[in-house]
Amino acid sequence: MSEGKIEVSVKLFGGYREAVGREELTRELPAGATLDTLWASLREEWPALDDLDPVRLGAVNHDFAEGGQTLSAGDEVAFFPPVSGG
Amino acid sequence: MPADYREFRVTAEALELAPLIDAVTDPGHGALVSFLGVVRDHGEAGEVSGLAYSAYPEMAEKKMAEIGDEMAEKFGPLAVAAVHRTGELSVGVPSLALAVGAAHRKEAYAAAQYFVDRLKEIVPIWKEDMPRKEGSR
Repeated sequence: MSEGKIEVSVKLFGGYREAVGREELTRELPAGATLDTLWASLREEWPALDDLDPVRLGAVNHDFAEGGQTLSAGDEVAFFPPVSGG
Repeated sequence: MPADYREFRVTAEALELAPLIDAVTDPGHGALVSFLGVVRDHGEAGEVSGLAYSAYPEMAEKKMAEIGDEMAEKFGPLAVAAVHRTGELSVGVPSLALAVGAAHRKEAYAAAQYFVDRLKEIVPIWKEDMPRKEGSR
């Protein structure tokens, strides 16, 4: 990993998984990157994610997170649709 | 089992309620409330043959445990065991099994209700309708 960079893992569910075609990936980001930074970089690579933006839920290390949350090296980030269990 | 027993799982296996009731049983518990959420034959879009459930298991188990803590804060000391199933489940098959043990009935019922309400808000589990095939039932 290069200087000033962090690597995070990303898990995808529902339509996010379909749009990207993968369940998981890892991403290198500049230090200080936020959840929104990560999301923007994914959207750049997979424009199909745009449609899911309005209903996006994000989590960091198994807790819900807002877009402004700063990420740390090794974080597990997830994107998924509104929950509907039960 | 301890009076404040906690068990929260996501599984692909068939659900069994009896072990959960056993787990929340305690000499101090005068009320054991159990609940099964079962796949029904119709969704918002019409008749279905079943529901396909998926989950983010690590986070789902963590959020269920948090709901357990919230329940104890709101309703007092209690034991709770809940298991949510994933995979393609046919009509009539349980998707959620829950048991709550508490000293009194009122708290046990309220806590069980609270668990399911909160599960539908914060636990990353999703269901999709499996449309009924033409001519099948």
